[in-house]
Amino acid sequence: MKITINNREYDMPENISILEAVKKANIKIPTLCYMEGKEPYGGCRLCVVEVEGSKTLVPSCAVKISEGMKIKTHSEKVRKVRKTIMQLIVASHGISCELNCLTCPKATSCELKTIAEEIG
Amino acid sequence: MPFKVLEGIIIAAYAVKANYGYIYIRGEYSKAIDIFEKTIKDAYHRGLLGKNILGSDFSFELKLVKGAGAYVCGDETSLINSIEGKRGFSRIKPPYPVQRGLYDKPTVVNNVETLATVAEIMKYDENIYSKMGTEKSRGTKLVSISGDVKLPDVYEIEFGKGTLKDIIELAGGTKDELNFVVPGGLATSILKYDEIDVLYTYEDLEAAGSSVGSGGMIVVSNKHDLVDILLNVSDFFVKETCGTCFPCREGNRNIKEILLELKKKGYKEKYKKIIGELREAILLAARCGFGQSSVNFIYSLLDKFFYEEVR
Ligand code: SF4
Ligand code: SF4
Repeated sequence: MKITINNREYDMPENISILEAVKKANIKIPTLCYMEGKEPYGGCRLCVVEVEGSKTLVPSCAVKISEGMKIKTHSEKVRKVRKTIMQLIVASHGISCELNCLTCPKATSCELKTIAEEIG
Repeated sequence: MPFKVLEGIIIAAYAVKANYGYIYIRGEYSKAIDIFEKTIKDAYHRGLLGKNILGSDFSFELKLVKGAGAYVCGDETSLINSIEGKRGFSRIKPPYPVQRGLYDKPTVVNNVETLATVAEIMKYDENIYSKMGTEKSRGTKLVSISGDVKLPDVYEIEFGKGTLKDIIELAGGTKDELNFVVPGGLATSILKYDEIDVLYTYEDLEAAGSSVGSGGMIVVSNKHDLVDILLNVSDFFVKETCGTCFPCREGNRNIKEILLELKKKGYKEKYKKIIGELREAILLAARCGFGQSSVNFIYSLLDKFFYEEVR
């Protein structure tokens, strides 16, 4: 099946999600609630991408690719929305003087921290 | 009216060859529940429901389900969860209900107004319904007008025959001076007192930046404090969000925080940018229609009454 990711054409197997296709194309999209092998949950909304023809952004974990689909994983719109969502996630995480990344014992293995740094 | 809905349900079931149907009514609406319970009983009694309806080979069972009263259960996938006895929160789409819905079976979900209309459309040989309204908004709409009007009630309005202003006049006109109108419930954007010369159709309201929505029109006079209204609506969305996805749950919570600050300290320029960003994230990335439409009211009210002053 032919799809376009970030203006490049790819040939992908059928019946896979956008997220899986993007991974195959060696492009990275941040995810938090996604777990391989489990039904997608679609809660964190970090994996949203732009798909031509769709008014809203699309959760790449939950939507399967289709013939001729044109996907943008890091357009300005996507990055902006992703950043706002990441801010909301971090803000709800209760980071304060007592709990913060400098003193947190989980700092070296923390997905949240890694993704926050990636998104900036 | 209940018979029209019942008729619509049976027609829809016949059309898609469904043998099981549910009518879901919010638990608080006890009067509607009583009426419909009786309607279903009578229908079974007369052979309009059940095995081999009126001697045909079509069988259809209908069951009434009482909801536990969550706004988000108006979203079709949440409603399906609720019928299954699960927590009332949305399911991820796709799969859409018509592919995999109630108990994982293909499911058609329609609201009662649509179903009642179906019965009405099927009643006449030549379709008089489609001759009413406009090209893009056919037929009529039940508009429930509440708020600061003299005769709040449900009115059947033909699309394209009158403006919002006419509808308000039909409802006895406004008490006190009009400030703004919410054309289609809290999920739609407001229109200011000087924007109500718009024809009541899907296309005209959309062009005006709002929508027909649920038809739950609210008329607001200038006797109310705008910030209190904002907080009230925001509070509603914070309470009613199902909480599954971040943009909607946290976004709405943060909007409420900002509004609380606005109430205490007055309007500040920076709110516009923050709320604008939150709105974009919620609008574009929320998981279901509840979230996607949750900022329309607040944003449009701020935009039209607060931003303008500082512009
Ligand atoms: S390292 Fe991770 S868990 Fe620890 S405070 Fe930072 S974000 Fe939170
Ligand atoms: S948009 Fe709101 S109501 Fe819908 S799934 Fe997300 S949190 Fe729940």
